[in-house]
Amino acid sequence: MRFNDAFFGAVLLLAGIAIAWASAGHPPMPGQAFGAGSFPLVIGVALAVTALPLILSGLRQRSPALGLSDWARSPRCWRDLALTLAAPAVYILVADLIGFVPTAFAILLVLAATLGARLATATVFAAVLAVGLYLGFARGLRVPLPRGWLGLLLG
Amino acid sequence: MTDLLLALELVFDPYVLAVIAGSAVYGMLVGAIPGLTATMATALLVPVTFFMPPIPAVAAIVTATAMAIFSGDIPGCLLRMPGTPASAAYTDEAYAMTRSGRAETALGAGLFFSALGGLFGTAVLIVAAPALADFALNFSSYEYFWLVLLGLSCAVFISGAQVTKGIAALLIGLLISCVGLQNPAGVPRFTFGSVDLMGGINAINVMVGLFAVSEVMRGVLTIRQPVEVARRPSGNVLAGQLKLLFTYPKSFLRGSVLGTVIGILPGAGADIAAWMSYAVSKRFSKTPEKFGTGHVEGIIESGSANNSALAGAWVPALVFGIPGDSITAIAIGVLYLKGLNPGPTLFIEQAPQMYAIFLIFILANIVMIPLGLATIRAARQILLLPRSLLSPLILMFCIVGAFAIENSLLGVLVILVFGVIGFVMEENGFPVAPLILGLILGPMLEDHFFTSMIKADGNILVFFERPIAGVLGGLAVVIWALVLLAGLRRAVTSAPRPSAR
Repeated sequence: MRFNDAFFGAVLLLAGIAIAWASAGHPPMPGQAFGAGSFPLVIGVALAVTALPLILSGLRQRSPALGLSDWARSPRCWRDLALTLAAPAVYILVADLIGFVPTAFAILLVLAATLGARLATATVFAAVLAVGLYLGFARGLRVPLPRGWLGLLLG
Repeated sequence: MTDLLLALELVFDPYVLAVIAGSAVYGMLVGAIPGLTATMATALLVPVTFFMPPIPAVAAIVTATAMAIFSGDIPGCLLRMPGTPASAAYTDEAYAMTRSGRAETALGAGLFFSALGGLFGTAVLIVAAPALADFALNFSSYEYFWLVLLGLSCAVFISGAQVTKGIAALLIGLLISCVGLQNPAGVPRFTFGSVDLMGGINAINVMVGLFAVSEVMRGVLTIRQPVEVARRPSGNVLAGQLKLLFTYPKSFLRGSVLGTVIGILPGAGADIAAWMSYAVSKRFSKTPEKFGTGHVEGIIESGSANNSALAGAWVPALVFGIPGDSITAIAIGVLYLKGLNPGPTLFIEQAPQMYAIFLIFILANIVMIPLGLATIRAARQILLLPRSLLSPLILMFCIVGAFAIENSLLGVLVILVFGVIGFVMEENGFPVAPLILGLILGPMLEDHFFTSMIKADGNILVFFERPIAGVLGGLAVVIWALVLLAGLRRAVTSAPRPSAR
């Protein structure tokens, strides 16, 4: 997905201005001329300034505002990509509720099956990995993975 | 001497050796599979190193990456798909050699000269790092400020991409490092009221997102492309390598030196080293027309360069905490976690640990040869591992790892957001290295600036007073002035002129 440079330039320009504006509100350190806002202020201004040549070169290039790469034409690719991005999002929303193992199992199964693995292989893979990761990280490395319903079962 | 003996004791401990063996296999596997990079391997290794003592943790990273940078050559040679970006420079050359039936020589050269180049880089590391640390004891906040600024500039100009995009990436990295409570003034910045954000955005999660998640995204999009079945190289891979060393000694030396130097430069690592060294090899070769047709000279030079760069990158990392490449960027995070805070005093107070790290480098490069041979034998099986299972595996590992770093779901959100950002950046020519450096060096830059300003009582000229600071500061000013002038000149000369059609 190639955006025209001017698009990025515009985004960065707005971001730079917003950041500079937000940082200017920070009070200076007692006794000094600068404070917590100084660094971001400089960065924000520099970002806005750097954005200008980008906008210029983008406009001069005359390439389309959004150029689609090969994969962007295939709905299957979009679906795969969407699922891949949904995985961490789903984890964030659901893992604490239903527990790590069911969440991981679901994510792995859906992804593997969609990406082309046979359903049986994907199921075994997802089950082994979900439990394996839990044992490895929660028991082995003592990471507090959410236990959810599984916790209620296991006590 | 006692330090060295202590170091030997630290390294030749069964647990450490087991970790080295395990991470060597892991590194070989990850490097050999296209779409999995050495940086990704390191990022995925971080949660596993949590409960390890410092030396095995560092050993895991050093060994895994040394192996991965070599084994990326294998699919490049056999399938024309580089396993890691560092092998991309000579993939075509190696594949041409395979097509003319000389895969064994290509792989052998990659293996042998990777190990030798790595050992060369390690030798430089062993000599240079302590010497530089000694010199750095004279450094005060002024010198560090200029050094960090130079390091950041280096990343922008060496990245090979458009300078404006490099600067933009750098500024974005600096900005991300501003989020949170950790600043000289102790005032929460850009936290939007969230307690999680007060701790800042963890650099390792950003890197997992940029390097691992975005690679998974890319892999998912190319998953349906048919994979050729690799021919297994049948001959003796190491036969004739010593003869090659004596035929092309200059290539090996030049590649190793260039690789080490590029590794030392912040933000430039194995991949840039390989590309530059391949170009240099072609330029200075007696037979440049043979390049591209299956000529081993370029492979010798770049193969040495990319592995020596790995060792070189640890020089600024250990002495200053300035990452020499993206792998050491992650490694520095691990060092801090383990109490091995990088800096010149590390070499004085924890000398056995430093020697242990050097020993591990030597060990890793020696172990590379037998393990590399085994991996080449197993190449066919490795390359047939299904991507439909690998990608979800890696993604899930990233999610758990991201959560594990600070036991916070913010980490998972960060890898998601930066996965998308990394993907978009790559597609649009924005280099990632300056962003990483900005992220890691931002706090250092700000801290040293504030400390210096407070000491100088607001007088900027004091930044140039001390001799070393003056030199570094002058260098920084000159470099930026030159770049700005060049940029202005280009803008003026390429301004639209009235065309005579």
